[in-house]
Amino acid sequence: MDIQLVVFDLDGTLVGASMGFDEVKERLRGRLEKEGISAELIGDLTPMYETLIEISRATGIDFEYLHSFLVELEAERAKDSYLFEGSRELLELLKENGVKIALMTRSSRKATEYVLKKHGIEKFFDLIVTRDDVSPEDVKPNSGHLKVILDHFDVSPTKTIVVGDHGYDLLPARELGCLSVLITSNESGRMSFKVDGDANFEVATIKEALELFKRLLKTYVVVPAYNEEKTISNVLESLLQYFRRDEIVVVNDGSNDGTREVAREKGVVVLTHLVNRGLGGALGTGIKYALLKGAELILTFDADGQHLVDDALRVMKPVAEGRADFAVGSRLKGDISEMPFVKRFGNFVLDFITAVFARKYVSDSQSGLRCFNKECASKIRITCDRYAVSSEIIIEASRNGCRIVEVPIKAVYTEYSKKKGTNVLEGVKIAFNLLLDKMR
Amino acid sequence: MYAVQYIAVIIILALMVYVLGKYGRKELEWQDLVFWEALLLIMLIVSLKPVEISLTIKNILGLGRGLDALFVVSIGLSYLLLFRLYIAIDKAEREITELTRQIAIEFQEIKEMLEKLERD
Repeated sequence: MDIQLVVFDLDGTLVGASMGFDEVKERLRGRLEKEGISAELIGDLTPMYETLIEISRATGIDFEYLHSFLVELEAERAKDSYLFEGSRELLELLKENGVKIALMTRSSRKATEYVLKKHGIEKFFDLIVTRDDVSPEDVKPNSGHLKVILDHFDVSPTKTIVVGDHGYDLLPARELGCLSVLITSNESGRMSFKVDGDANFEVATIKEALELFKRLLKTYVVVPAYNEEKTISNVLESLLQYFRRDEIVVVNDGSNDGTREVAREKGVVVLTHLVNRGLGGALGTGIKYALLKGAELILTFDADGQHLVDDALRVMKPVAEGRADFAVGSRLKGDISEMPFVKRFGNFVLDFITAVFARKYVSDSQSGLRCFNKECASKIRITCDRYAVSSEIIIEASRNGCRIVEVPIKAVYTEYSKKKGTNVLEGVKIAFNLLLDKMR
Repeated sequence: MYAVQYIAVIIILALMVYVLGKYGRKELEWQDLVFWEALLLIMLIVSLKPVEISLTIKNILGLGRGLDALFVVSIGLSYLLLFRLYIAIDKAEREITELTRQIAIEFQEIKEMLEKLERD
């Protein structure tokens, strides 16, 4: 993927501490009560920083004075902080790959700098934005915090990944359209309350995030294309939001229109079949090339504009997180209201045939949106040149013991894409081909 | 023996020699040689004893006249041949795909190499 900037949260993401935020909160409450502030004003102190601002406004006590209590506690907490296993390796990996790194934290500058120095990781960060560096109404979960960072680097949000352990990190990411990674089980250092938010990727620990980034940095997209000059430009444009030019592999399958030229203009990799070999042939070529280039993840994406790039990210999710070896975007699990009846019936027949041979039922075996990891992709032997390949891939994946996952997606059926793709006649051919495969 | 039997025997013998020659020039795999020679041998036997064989098949299968039975069997055999042909074409198709694939990838690699050279 085209990752240009990674924005990290600090506490609970990169570092932990034995003193929990609940303890910080209780000690802050004690300190405030000592100052004679009413329990009503203090409330449950969630979130702490914003509550201090309100108390200052209500009582007229100097904010800096109140704030200093919190900073003191944070500094004390920072002293026994420790770096999570994998944090340094992840930062090193990103630096090696030329990715810019920023820190976005609700902690004070004093505590942040102390922690970074203590663990010797301050050199990795190109920009550090603490709560002291933005106005109180901009501090995350407000998007102003992240916006400052994006503006500083002048990077598109789709090429930015926010890594955090809390909904407070996900909210600004979603608002600005950045990708997000949620660390789900770093218990120490987590904030004392929860905010729900969906992340693009979820991993248990920062160590697993290291593996996730290794895969994401080497994700290739294979786009088989036969006479798609009308649609391929928009398809590539949408893929370029998230992927690098050298990661998008268009396999121009002997098109006799301008597909090749249109794709070349976008600067992506274009492999040209001198003669038309069909979908299977094209996919095989793209996958082989991606493996040669050292791909960790391979995504297949149709050139006729029926897939959404957001769905592609969703299909990538289980494979990138290491939970599956092969994921297929299922149009039947998602919204099928737009799928023509003939297609729905044709797909049902093919699903049945595939299930018989694969000994595994996949609700949409003919989907063109798939994601493999390297291991699974190299095990799959594609022999069907034509449309039967969709079934063959699932059968091969299942026989080779790949963990298969289905992800609901939405298919966009334009008048144009309705005319293409599998029909019932293709289905009969696929069945015949699969039977023959048994005899070879 | 009828005249047509002589013609058939000559053609079949010529074919047998032709297939053997092809094997000798290494244009055929030994499995193919065995298959074709066996098939031709059966045809040779049939052309030498057409009436007896057709009557035997008729008795086994219970089909109308003896000659009809022979036709049915030969149609069956030609389907078998068609199937072999299908397999052969399929194999050729795969080889074409592999070839096309190799060319596509190698062209791209050459292009990448040239671009790299230009940059350096």
